[in-house]
Parts: sequence; C-alpha cells; structure tokens
Amino acid sequence: MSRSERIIPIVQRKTIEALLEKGERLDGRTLTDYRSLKIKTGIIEKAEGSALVELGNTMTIAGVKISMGRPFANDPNKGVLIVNAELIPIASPTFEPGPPGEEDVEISRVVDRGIRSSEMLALDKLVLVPGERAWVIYVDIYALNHDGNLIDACMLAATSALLTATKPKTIVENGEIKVLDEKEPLPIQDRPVSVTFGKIGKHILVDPIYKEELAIDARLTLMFSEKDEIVAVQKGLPGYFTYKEILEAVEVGLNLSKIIRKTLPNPPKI
Amino acid sequence: MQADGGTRCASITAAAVALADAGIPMRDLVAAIAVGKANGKIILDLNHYEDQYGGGDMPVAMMPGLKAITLLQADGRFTPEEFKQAISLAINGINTIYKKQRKALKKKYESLLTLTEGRADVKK
Repeated sequence: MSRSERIIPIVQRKTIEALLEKGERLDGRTLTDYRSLKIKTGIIEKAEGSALVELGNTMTIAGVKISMGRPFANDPNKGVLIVNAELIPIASPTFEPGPPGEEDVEISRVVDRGIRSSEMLALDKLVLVPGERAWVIYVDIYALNHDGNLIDACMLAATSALLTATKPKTIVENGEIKVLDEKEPLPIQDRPVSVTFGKIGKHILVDPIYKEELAIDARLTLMFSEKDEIVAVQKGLPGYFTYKEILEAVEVGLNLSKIIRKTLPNPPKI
Repeated sequence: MQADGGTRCASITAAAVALADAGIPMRDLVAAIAVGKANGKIILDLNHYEDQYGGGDMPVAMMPGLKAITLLQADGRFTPEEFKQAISLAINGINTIYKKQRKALKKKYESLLTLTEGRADVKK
C-alpha cells in the first residue's frame, strides 16, 4: 500500500474491530481460519514451470524460466536463483505501472528468503562447470487480483511453479556440456510454506483480506520448513507485536503450514 | 563507520538516542540487537564472521518500556524452541542496551549539572 494512501473509513475499522471482539470477521472466518486455496499448475506452456494460485479472491501467477548462465563469482559452486514479484495495475486500483515499488520489492525479497533459507532448491546440484556454467532459475511472480495477503499467495505460486518445473538433463565431460532432450524435475529438498498474520488493535488474525489489510497496524510473516523449522520471518508496517503474540503466531502458523502444505503440487513424474 | 555485524541494529539504537538527545517527544527509546545461530548454538550479537557463516540471523528491535517488538526479521533454520530462546535472548540484550541508552542520556545532564555548580562556585 506504499503507492497510495492507506485510507480506511473510521466506520469500517470500527466494524472490523467490533467483529473481532466477538471472534468474527467480515467474511465469516474465525481469527485463525485460512481462506480456501486452489492451485493449478502447468498453465503456461512456454515456461519450464508455472502455477496459478487462488487464495479466496486473491489471485497470483508464477512462472519459472530456466536457462544456462554463469554462477556468481562469490558462489562458484552453486546455481543461480532470481526471484521477482510485480504488482501490476490489473490486480488493484492502488497498483501503478512503472518501476517496482516498496511493496513489490518486499514480496520479492521475502519469497526469495523463504526459498533460499529453507534450501528448497539444492543450488549446489545446479552447477554444471564450477565457476563457469550453471543453471539460472528465474521465478517471476505477478499479482492478478489483490484481495489481501499477497505475500502468502506469491510464495505459494513460486513454490508450486518450482515444484512442477522441469529442466533438460545434461552430461558434462571434460568441461563440455551436452544438453539432452530428456527432462528432469529440479533438485527439490524442502517445501517451505508461509503464513501471514495481521494485527488490528489487540487482535491477531491470519490471512487478512484486503479490507482487513487496510486496517492492520502490523503484519507478521512466518515461513516453515517441512521439518517444522522457522526458516524466514518478516515483520512489516509501523505497528508492533509483543513476545507473547509472536509465540502464539508461531503455534498457529506451524499448524496451518502443515495443512497448507498438503495443497502443494507433486513433482511431475517423468 | 566500521561494519562488524549488526550494523542495522547499532544504527537503530544510535538513532533512538540521538532523537531523544534532540529533545523529540518519544513514546519510548528503541533498542535493537541481532541473535543468530552458529554451530547449532543460539548466540547474541553476531560479529561479521558469525553473520556470514552462521546458521541463522535474526535482528530484533523493541521499545522496552512498552514491551513492543517493532522489528523482527529472520533467515536460517530455527526450531520453534530455538526461535523462542532466540527472541528471549534478544529481549535480554535489548534490556541491557536500554539501560545504557538511558545512562548515556542522563550523563549529559549530570555533567551539565556539575558545570553549572562549578560556575556558581566561581561567582561566590
């Protein structure tokens, strides 16, 4: 919401707060309910992997492009991962065309952090000739409809696209790379899941919709690995959380992450 | 001016004291510190080496008087138990810094006080 004023009529915030007081929300959920989630994969033919995510009315799409390039000089034995998220104007009247804003950058960085920190991709298996040639994995994420919680929706789209992506098999002999016609899935080691919370007054709610996001004082994203570890955290907006609130969010988030993970796609059988 | 890990946290701590020193009305001071994991152990205030090769990094900022955590980020791998331990450790560190911040702010006025007392003596 960095590009436009965060405006919410006082009346609406009062309605939301009065409902929260009773443990209810605008769309009938409880404070710890996640919205219905649908994930479709393989929707972009030319991409090596793709996914469309519908989280309630929030919709995001991600595509994975894989090409051969150079590893980073400071990481010669690893493949390269580049995550980019863009909030395009069709998703919300508050998104403007032009260079990425603060919100786009935050989503890109947080999704990147979750994938990298959980070691979802075995980047060391994506190097072909150390220091010379490696696979470069681009994950491009677009928000198509913004009805709140874009971080989780973008993370789900990115991980689903990576889980179903395939790349050509290769044979490396004496520094010569031979690319085969045969395909294989990416070296996946984990399936991280993010759970985002909003705080309105003294209430903490999970997976906020857009109307709730306009009223939230603070935001907390927790990402969990398959081994139930916390692999990434991002607190956003000017408000605060107490120690107790954070520990409660960890408990709720961990349980939800296990349920959400079940909706992730399986790697393709080849 | 010298980076040895925790530059952002030190900046937050310094900025809060500078604002208070400037006489800006504030709800509370903000103090910050990073906790992390190196060799499987939760440690406070990572230096540059620990930051680069550690198994996790978690900067925490807090308004200690209000018990309000205003900055929280993390990467690495923390079990829920380690995460809890890491935040507690950060809060302990923050409380120590908070005492030092307050002491530093008060010190200025203590020295002013001795100065004015000194002048009073001269007048006599």
